[in-house]
Amino acid sequence: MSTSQAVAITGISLLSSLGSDPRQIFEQLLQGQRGMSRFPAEDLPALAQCDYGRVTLNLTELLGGKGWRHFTRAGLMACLVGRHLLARVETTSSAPIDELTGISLGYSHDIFIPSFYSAFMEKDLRLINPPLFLNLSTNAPASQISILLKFHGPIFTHTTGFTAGLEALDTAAMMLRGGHAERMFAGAVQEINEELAESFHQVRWTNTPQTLTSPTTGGIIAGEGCALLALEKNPESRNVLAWLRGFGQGFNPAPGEPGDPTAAQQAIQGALHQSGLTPAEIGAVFLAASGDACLDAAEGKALETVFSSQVPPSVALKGAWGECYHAGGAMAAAMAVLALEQQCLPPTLNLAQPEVKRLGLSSAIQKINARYALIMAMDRDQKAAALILEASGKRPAC
Amino acid sequence: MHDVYVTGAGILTSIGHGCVTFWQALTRGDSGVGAVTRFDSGWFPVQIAAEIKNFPNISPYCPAAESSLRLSARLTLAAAREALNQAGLLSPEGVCTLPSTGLLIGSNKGDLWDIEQQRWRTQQSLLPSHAKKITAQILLTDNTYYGVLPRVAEHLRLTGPQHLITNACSAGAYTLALGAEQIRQGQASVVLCGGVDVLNESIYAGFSSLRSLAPERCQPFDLHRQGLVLGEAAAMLVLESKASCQARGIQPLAALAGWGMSCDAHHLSAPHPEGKGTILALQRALKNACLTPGRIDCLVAHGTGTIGNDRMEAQAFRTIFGEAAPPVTAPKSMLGHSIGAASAVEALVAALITQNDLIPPTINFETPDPECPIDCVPNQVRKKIIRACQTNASSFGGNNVSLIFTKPSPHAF
Repeated sequence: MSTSQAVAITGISLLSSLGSDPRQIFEQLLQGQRGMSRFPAEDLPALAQCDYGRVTLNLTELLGGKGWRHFTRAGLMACLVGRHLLARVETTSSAPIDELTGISLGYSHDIFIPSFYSAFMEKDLRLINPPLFLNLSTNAPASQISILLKFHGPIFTHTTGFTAGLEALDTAAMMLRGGHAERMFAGAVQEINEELAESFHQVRWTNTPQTLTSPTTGGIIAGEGCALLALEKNPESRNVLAWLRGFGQGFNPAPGEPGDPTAAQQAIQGALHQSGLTPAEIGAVFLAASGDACLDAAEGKALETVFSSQVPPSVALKGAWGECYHAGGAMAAAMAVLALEQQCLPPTLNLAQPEVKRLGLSSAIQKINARYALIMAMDRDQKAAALILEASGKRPAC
Repeated sequence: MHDVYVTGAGILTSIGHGCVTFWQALTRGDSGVGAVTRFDSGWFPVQIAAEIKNFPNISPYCPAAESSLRLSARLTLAAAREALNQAGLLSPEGVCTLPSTGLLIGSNKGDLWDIEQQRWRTQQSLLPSHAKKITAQILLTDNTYYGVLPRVAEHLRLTGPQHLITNACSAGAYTLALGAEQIRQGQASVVLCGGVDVLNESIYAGFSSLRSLAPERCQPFDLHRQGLVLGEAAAMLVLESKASCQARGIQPLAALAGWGMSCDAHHLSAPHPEGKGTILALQRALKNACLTPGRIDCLVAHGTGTIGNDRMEAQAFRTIFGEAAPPVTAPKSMLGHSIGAASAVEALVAALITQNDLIPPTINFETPDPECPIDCVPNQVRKKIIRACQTNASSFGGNNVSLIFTKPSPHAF
C-alpha cells in the first residue's frame, strides 16, 4: 500500500476497567496497574469467586440526562466512547462532521437476557418489551452512536468474535479509500453480561484469582470495554496521531494440533504484505495473548516463525483489563497509537515463565525505537487478524 | 479500480431451492407463506411465515460431518455451493477450488433457532437455572450465536478474508458492498457474499410485540397493507474481478456497477420521515456507478408491507426518480421478510432481472395507496429491457444500502 492510500488516525477514545481517558489509561498501564474486580455476589453468585475486568463507572450518569433506560450496557459504553471521541475530534479537526461520517463497530450480544428469557419460559407475549427487543438487535450500538452523533455515512457491525475490532478498523479504512466516507469512527465494544460470563466459566476458560492471566499459563480473565478510533483519509498533518498501514486475516480450515500457528502466521504476513513492510521494520508488537494456552502457543509460534526468533519488544495488555472479546483488538490498537507516540511499551503483568522473553515480553516498561507496531487478534475458531500502525512522526520521550 | 461481476448465484427460499426453480416461481408470482412449523406459534396472535420447505437433512457432501451442523450453516453451504458451481469454482468433493476466495455472510440472528431448540429441550428435563448454564456452554463451544461463518469456511476450505456482518435486515447487501469494495480496491479477486437467517421464535416474538406482523399475507405498497410476514432464506453470490473472469474464461451473469450506504441517524425502528437515509444510499449508489437516475430501468424495493416503511420508500423513489420512476418490484410479497438474508435475496433477484429482462410481480396488490405513487408491477410479471436494476434495503437502526446491477459489457468477455 502506498502512503497516499494510508489512512490517518486522528483521534482515539477508550473505556476500560481502568477508566475512560485513553492517556490516563496508558499512564496507568505504564505504572502496572490492574483493573480487576469481582461481580457483586448477589448478581452472579456462581461466579463471585472470579475476577473480571469490569467497567465500574456509572455509565448512565456519565452520559447524563434521561432516555438511556432500554440501552444495553454495550450501547451505553459505545455512546459514551463515541461522544468522547467526537469531542476530541471536533477540537482538533477543521473538517466538518458531516453526512459522510460513518461507523464500523465490532460487537456481539446475547439475546437471552433475563427479561426475554422469562417471556419465553412463560410463553407470554405481554412480557416481551418492544424497546428492549430493538435494543437487543446486534446493530443497535452502532446505530445508537449514529443517532446520537447524527452520522449519515456507512455503518457496519462486525460480529466475528475476537478479530471483529481489527476487522472493523480495516473496513472503515476501505470505506475511506473507496470514497464512501470522509471520516469513520471505528473500533469495537464488548460488555460482560451474565450469559457471557457464565459461558466463559462453563467452558472452563476463566481463571481463578490464584492463577491470574499470563501468556504462558492457562486461563483467561474476562473483561469489557470499548475503543473507537477516528480515521480520515486526508487530514491536516498536525492532527495525525498515527497511520493505519496494513491489515491481514488468517483462517485455518483444517487445524492440526492445538496451538496450530497457521492462521496467525497468515494474518501477520497479510498485514506485512499490504503495508509493503518486512518483519525487520516492525518495532513493537501488541500481542493478543489472553492466557489461553492454545491460543497463546499458536500466537507465539507464528511470531517466532515470521520474525525468525527475533520478535520485537512486545506487550500483552489483557493482564491489566482482561479478555475483552470483540473489543480486545481495537482497545490494543488505541494503546498502540500512544505507545508509538511515546516510544514505550507498558509492562506485561503476571509474567511467570522465563521463556516468554523470546516473545519480546517484559514485566518492566520497555523503551522502543519503533516506526511501526503490529497488533494481533486471535480467535478460538482458528481465525486471526493483524493490523499495522505507523507512527505519525511526532515523538515525545517516554 | 477493478470492475466487479457476478459469476455465480445460489439460493434457498420458501418458493424454491436453486436459482432456476426460484426464478420460475418468482416470475409466476408464487407465495411461500404458510403456517409456522419451526416452533410452537400457538402463543402468538399471528401464526404465518414463509419457511423453507423440503430442505434435506442429509448433505450430499460429507454427510456425517455436515448433517450435524446448525441449520443456518447447512442452508448457507447449499446456497454457496450452487453459486460456486455456477462460477466453475466447486470441486466434486463440494469444496471451493480457489481457497483464497473471501467469505462474507450477513445475518441478523445467526444460529438462534438451533439454540432455541436446544434450550427448549434442556428446559424440559432441567430446572431453568441449569438450562441456562447448558445453553451458555453451547454458545461458546460453537462460537456463540454466529458459528455460521467459520463452519461454512471450514467446509468449503476457504482461507481468504472473512466477515460476518450483522446490520439487521440490510446485512446481506452490506456484505455485497464490502465484498465488491475489496475487489475494486484490489484486495481480493473472488469473494462469496450473501446472507442467511432461519425463522426463530425470539425474532417472531419481537416483531409480534411490535405488532408488525400481517395476519394473512404481505401486501407491499397496497392501501390496505397490514404489516410484514417473517420468512427465512439463504442467498449467496460469487463476485469476481474482470481480470479473474477473463483469466478463467467465465461469462458473468451481471455486473455489480455501484453501491451506496448510509445511516438514517434517526430512530432504532422508525424510518426517517422524509426517507433521508434511503435517499442518500440510492444517490450514493448512483454516483458510485457513475449513472444518472434515468439509466435505472427497474427498482427492487425493500417493500416490507408495513405502513411506515412503504410510504417512506415510495416517497424516496419519487424524490430521486421523479414521476417517471421505473417499475418497482417487492419480492417480500412472495418470500416474506428473511431479515439478514432479505437484501441478499433481493440483490440476487436484481441480478436475475438484469440478466433475463423480466420483472417479477408484487403480488397481493389490490388497491393503490395515494401515498405510495409508484408502479409496483402488480400481480403480473412484466417484460422490459433492463440496462440497470437498483436495489434498496433498510433495517432497524436505519442502516441503508443500495446496489446497482447492469448487464456485463459484451465487449469485455
